[in-house]
Amino acid sequence: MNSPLCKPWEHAFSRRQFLGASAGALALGAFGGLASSRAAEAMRKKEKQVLFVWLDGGISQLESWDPKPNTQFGGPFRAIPTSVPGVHFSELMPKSAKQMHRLCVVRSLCTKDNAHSSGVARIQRGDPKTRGVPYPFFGSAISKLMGPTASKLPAYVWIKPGSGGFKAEDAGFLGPKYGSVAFGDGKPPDDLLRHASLTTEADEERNELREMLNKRYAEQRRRNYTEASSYVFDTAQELMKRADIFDTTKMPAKELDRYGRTEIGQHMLVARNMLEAGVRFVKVNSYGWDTHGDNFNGHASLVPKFDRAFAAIVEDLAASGLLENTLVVAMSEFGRTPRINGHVGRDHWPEAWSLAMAGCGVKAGAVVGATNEKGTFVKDEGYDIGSVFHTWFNALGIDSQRVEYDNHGQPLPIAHDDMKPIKEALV
Amino acid sequence: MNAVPNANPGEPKEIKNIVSDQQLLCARFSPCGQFLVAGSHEGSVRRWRVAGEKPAAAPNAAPAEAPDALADLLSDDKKKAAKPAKAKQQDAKAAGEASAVEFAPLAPLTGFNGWVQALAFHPSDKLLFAADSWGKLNCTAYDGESPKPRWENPAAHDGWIRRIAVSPDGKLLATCGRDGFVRVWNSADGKPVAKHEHGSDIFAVVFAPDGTQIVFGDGLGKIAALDFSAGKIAREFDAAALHKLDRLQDIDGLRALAFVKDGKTLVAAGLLPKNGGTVQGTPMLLYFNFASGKLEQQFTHGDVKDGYIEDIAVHPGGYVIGVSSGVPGNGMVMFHRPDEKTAFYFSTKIANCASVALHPDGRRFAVAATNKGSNGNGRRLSADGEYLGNNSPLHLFEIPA
Repeated sequence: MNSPLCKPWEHAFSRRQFLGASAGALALGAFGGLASSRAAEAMRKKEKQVLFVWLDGGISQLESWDPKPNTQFGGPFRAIPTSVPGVHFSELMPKSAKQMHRLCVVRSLCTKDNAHSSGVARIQRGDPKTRGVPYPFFGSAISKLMGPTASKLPAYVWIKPGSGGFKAEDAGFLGPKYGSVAFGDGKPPDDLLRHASLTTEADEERNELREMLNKRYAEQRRRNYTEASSYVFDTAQELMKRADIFDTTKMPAKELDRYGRTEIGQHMLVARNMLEAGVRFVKVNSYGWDTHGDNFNGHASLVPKFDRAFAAIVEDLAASGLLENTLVVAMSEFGRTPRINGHVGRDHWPEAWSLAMAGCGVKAGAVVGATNEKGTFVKDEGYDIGSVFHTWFNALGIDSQRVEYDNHGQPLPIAHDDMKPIKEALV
Repeated sequence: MNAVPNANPGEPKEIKNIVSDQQLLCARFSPCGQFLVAGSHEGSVRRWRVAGEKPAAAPNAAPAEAPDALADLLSDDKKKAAKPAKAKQQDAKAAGEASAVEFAPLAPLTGFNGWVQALAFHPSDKLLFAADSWGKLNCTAYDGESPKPRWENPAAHDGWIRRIAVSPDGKLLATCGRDGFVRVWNSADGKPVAKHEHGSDIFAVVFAPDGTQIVFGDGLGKIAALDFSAGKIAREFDAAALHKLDRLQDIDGLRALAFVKDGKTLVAAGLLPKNGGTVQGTPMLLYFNFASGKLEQQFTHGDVKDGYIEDIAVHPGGYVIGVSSGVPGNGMVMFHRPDEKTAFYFSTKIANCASVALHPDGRRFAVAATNKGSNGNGRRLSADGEYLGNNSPLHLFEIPA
């Protein structure tokens, strides 16, 4: 946590500092290699990290962070008290309710897109003003602005159901180097680990040859592509050393149960391992939240699985001390309509919805904003995603109103230039 | 009352359509046929007094004997006013038209929380049992002007009570819910009689015809018969076809249980799931031999967009009336005889059906549905800027003789 005597933005990166970030990261990496593991671990704990939980399709705010029981659109569920007096969650989230003193819930999100196709990208890119170039997703932005930690593990890792691989498209104009390394079904990319038939010596020989060919290749190609290629290979090599991160089979049954033996439970457990190992930005995706039909039974099935995993990781990060320097975010591309359709579902609703945060730089135990009695609209000021991006950057110590990207000489703001951080959410 | 066991009805004809201002979940006719009740999304039970002419007798069946509400319930003035209408209806029927019927709204029963999805009537006493999604179970003597609860248990279950069943002799109730319990109660005073912890969300419960067992089913495709006096599971039924784990979501396909073929066959109604999120799947009925537990027939009808059979009623003629709610705008009313490969009647004219109530005369049934255009992303405001909710039309059908 930042000192009470100073504010996060006083520790912000300047543009000059940012431009030198790559060199800094290299130096840290070198130091990490020389220091004792305990010292390196202690140092790494002070590095800022991010856990970004993405509930794709749209979790209902009414069945999670902002219940409106016994109202027209409130649905069947009760509200339950949380660890912060006066704050209530849906009864589907009993475990997260016990973590509320560590959370900061924003109940007054008011965004623009009510379609997945545009909403997912717009929300994860922070909805900047149109600049003629695609903006990076939050993970790519952090990868660029903060680089890898001293662990030298990939800066931006994405744990997701389905396929894995290197996802360059997240990086937008920053270039493919800042894309995500995706772990499909929580497993490492295919062929990450050295084949059993290949000896260490043979592998080293091959690497020498690869580096030589890389140099020749790089001379004839655009720099950002060859950089990305080398970067991915280098980080993969680091991952190869840490195969234990992905292997949940050797973990105690109690741990597996505490996170839930579900897709999101096991992925969140891998995410915890990655954060502990030093990955800068870990995104965990869960799909299937687009409950236009049977919303209430759907959420009765989905939310408790998320709740168990989310509460467990927040609790564990707090216990290990990592939460102090890890920004945790759980959100979707929008909320769901208060109106209940004929398929007993809720449709897309960007006008009044919620997200939850915890950890680094955010005010623990706070509820920011409110919706009206029926949950249909935000009561006072609504916050668009641009404000949320400013908030996240500031929570991580990046002055979002001063730091800029350098797009081949074109300075670009890192967050919407007409918006500001949500100060009530920041320590 | 003598039912009309007409097993070969013609096409049902819609004779009335009323709109409830609140969205409805479950509709039931009282055994006397004079009341229609429906549980709502807003913690109340909506009520209507059913007044009008009983349908004409089927030419090849025993006559319907549902009491005429006009005769029993209306004031003398109203009776006088109603008589010409009655005569007119009879004339119309003679010309081959459907019966006329009126639904007079009565004060709703209030004091519930969340949703009221579970409703059941006592077979002979004028008692209505209702339960809400916060765990309250209530018994109300429903025939007065201002019905009062006979007894009430505010914490019968921990949370959502999904169904109530009444034993054939009316002495016992069974309830089931999201807390994973089935519970048996004394219907006269609400005292607990038995309970069974199943462990996962239970969607439906029904008494076996002899009254010694209850049959319940969960969202994971497990159905079991419980000898509640002995506290033992007597039999299990494999309804795995009603469940699918799609990514993170358990799609709970079961919605209703009932007995057909003189109690020899158990029918489970719901969905053959395809995918979660915007749940899609095909309406499905599973027929089990109750004595052996063996699946006798897996019947599906329609398309994946047609969704859940949300509710069923067993007609005295031996067939199942099912109503479904699919993706918005899609709904179905379907008649199916056990053992047959196709539905002998179906209609997709009504959007998103939530429940079906069969009148005790066997000639009429009501379907609680949803207004058209109920879905849509983003804003939909009224002319004065109010955020609009949906409502539930109640469609009353007459089954031709």
